[in-house]
Amino acid sequence: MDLVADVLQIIAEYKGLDVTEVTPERSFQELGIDSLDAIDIIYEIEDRFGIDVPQDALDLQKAKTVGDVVALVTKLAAERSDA
Amino acid sequence: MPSSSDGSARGGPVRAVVTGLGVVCAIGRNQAEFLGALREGRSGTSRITAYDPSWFNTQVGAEVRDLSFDPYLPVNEQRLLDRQSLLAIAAAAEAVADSGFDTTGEEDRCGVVMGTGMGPSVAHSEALAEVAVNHRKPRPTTIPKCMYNAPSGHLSMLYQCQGPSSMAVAACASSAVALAQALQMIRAGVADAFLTGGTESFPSYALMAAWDALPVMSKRNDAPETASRPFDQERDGFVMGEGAAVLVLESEAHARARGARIYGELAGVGLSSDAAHITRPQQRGPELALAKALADAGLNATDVDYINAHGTATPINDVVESRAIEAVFGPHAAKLMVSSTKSAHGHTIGAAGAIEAAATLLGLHHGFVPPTINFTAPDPECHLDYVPNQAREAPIRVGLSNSFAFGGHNVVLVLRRYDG
Repeated sequence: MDLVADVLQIIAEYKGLDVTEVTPERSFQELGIDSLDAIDIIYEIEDRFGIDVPQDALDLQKAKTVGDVVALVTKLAAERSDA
Repeated sequence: MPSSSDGSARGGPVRAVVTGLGVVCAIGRNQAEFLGALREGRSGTSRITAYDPSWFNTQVGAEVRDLSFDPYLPVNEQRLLDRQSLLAIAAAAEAVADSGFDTTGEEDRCGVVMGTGMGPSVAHSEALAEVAVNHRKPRPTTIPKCMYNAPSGHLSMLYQCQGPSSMAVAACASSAVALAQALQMIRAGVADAFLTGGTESFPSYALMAAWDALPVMSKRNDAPETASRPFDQERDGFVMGEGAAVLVLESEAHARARGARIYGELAGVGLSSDAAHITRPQQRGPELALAKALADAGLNATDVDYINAHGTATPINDVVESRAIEAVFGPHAAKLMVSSTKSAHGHTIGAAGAIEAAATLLGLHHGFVPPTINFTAPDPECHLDYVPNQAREAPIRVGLSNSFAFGGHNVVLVLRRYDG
């Protein structure tokens, strides 16, 4: 799915990683993504997909993996196309 | 390296020497280019490229061109830094390599003091636009980018300086204040070595528009290279610049113990405040700073060979500064060489004190005086030897560097050739 690939690509570019290293099961900690990075990545995603991620949608205390971000963006994108 | 905060090699008061110089500005992306341009009297002024200046009265500036920050920081990390920090990192990398500075084993004895005038104005403007135009919260990375103190924070992390670190903010005197604070901390034994200097990015579009509303910049848009002409009768204001300079400043004992090459000594500072007007130059404050600087360095007026003037090229500054020099130096003023290197690299605001200290130190070290370029017709009210147009070979022993800022902050640095 393009959306998933795009999210992985954004995260890889942000952290200067090869895109093959960024998979849904990998944790933020493994990829060196701190809370500031995570918020900034959400902004990148908002710009790319034209979606609005509510500030409390992604609990950075609980979201631990790339997959958590992918799931959230997939849900928000689906809601937008339903609207 | 042995720790040595207990006095100079001679057992007298602690002296501080400069062992590394890194410079980035419109006339040079490194020390060698900067030195060449000073010797050749090259201008770094051209039409502004950072944004469309066509609706401004002033359409010229002295920008840093063709400089990649990739050698200094991974591309994906650069987005967390405003240009003021990136310029500082480029200058610091050169200074550190130049000096062989290594903090390993004495991290807590090494510090950072930098200066900035207008701070991270580009990041501020972007955040404002995000709110005003897009009605969206700016990115959270705006906060670390918008910290005025970010350059010092990044340098402390990059070079593991675990002693004091901070930024000085005093408009056009910011980096001269930074050097003064570093010197005073070395003298006080607080630390043995500092990365010190200043950084200033070209103002954001919004800030430059505001500068353009203040009638202080040159409007010589048809001949940018000649726009900055300090002490010249035809001068019509300063040219906005950008850049950074970082000096490695160490106690003499520390530098000698590690066998470092020494460019010169920061022998004293004079600090004063006009306490009069927020923008209008005064004569009394600069006089006080000049006199205090000589006293701090234990020098007589006749010991001074050269003054790197504040020399902005505004009609009022250059007259007031010349009068202050005449008042303090008396008959010796006629023998002084006085130049403004802002004629070449523009007014780099918060980086000016450090860039001009670097120019003075290179003059001391290589035995020449950088010229005031674009000097064709002397102002009848400015009577000194302004070293017009051509660099002058001269064995200078003592050079001063003046920084007189909006806000009435005045700093004079005393730089002395180091003869051991």
